Amino acid sequence: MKIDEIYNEYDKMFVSNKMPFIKCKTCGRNYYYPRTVCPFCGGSNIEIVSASGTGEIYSCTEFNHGFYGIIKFQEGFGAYMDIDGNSVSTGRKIRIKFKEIKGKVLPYASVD
Amino acid sequence: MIRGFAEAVYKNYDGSVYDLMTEALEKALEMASLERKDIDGFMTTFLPGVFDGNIYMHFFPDQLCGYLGITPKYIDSLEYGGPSVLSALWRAERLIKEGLAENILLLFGGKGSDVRKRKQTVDSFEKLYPEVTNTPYRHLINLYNNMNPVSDYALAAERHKKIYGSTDSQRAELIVKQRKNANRSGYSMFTGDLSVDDVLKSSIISSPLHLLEIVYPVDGFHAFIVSGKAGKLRGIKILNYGEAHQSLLPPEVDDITITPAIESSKNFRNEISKCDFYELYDSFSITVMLQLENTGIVPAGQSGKFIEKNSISVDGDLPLNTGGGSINRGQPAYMSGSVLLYEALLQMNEMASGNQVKSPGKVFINGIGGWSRNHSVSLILGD
Repeated sequence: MKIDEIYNEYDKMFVSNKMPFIKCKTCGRNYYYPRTVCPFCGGSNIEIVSASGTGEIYSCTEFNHGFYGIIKFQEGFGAYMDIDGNSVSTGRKIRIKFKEIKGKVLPYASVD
Repeated sequence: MIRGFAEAVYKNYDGSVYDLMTEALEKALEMASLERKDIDGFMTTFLPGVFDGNIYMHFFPDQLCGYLGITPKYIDSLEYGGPSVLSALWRAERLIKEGLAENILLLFGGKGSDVRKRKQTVDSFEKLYPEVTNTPYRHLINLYNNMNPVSDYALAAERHKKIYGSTDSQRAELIVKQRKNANRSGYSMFTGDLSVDDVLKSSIISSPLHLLEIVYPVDGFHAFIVSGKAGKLRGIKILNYGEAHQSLLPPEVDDITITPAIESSKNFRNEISKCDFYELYDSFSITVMLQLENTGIVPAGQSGKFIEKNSISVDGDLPLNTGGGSINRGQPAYMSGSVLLYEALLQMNEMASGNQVKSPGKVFINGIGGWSRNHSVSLILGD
């Protein structure tokens, strides 16, 4: 797989409101930030999968009139993203939604 | 050994970055009793925006040497932010030992004000250039509401609160104690009375971090001349050294309160406790706390309580960031490594006047670099 293929697939999935991640078929770990080899084991037998879109806030910060943080997903991978909702705090459960930022559709976390 | 060291640091320097670096170089040459022609090695670093606003400069070290009139046999540029200068010192010592150079100039800094005035950091500077992406992760990071490294260290502070129960007051206590060191030193940029309340009442920039817990980017250069001979100075050298780098992003690690400082310091933990004073990277209050824990000076999660109970002044239980740290001295070009090294050299050469550590035998220095804390350099200086 080439890096641009990963980004193209991610962008397609974002547009259809699906949360992608990469599954390493060698070590079984999951990750989100695109690399053509697994950052945990170096294996290149990877596939792009759609996540459940649920997880929890690992840590968050209120910044520039909004929340931003690290989300740990049910499938075990983590990602940075904006967080929305009435009572944002570390440990809260979230569900993924999508929004357009500067012409790109991207996921964000919404507190249930 | 270090034969000359100097700083040229200003809150706002009106002139060009080239004048600023010249000032630092000339002062260091004077201390070392050397001339430009004697410098045969050169090490530096580049960060976006701090060289008169340029996002990039090609053949950067060569351009600086050409401008400064230095003809080195050895050129290097180390690209991991704050602690790069500490690694440069170690590499320079080894090059000299190998006979590859005699007098190596480490020149680190730039103008932080150019970036600061545009309301960015070196790590978010690309936001000013929509056509530029500075990471392999493209829009997956930089389109969100963040301004690294501030927002990322805020996440570390928040996580530390959550798992260890550390408090905003404990972090503020560190800031107050570093200010006391700054007041006593007499050579700090930011001075005056400061209370825990003052810190907690300063605006929250990225929760839970307050304005006064965040280092202030300034303009400045430090020049260190590493040589086989110490000249007029004490002949100190690196006694223990470790550097560690990690490639995972913070969302990909299990615990963001763990930095590579665990790894960079692991081979000489017993020696760290025997040092007479400590200079720990202080980009933020939480940075110091993580290093206290990660280098084994205090147990994991206990840094807040430790700071509340102990004195960090030059005659205290654990003399720490003795000149007030870069939180009070300013952070030249978004890198505090040179500030730590400069203070360590002042103390070790007993040039810190009223703020002098008594009989300083050894100092432990730790630097953390990269917006995501991916780099750590640990070292002990002594005879």
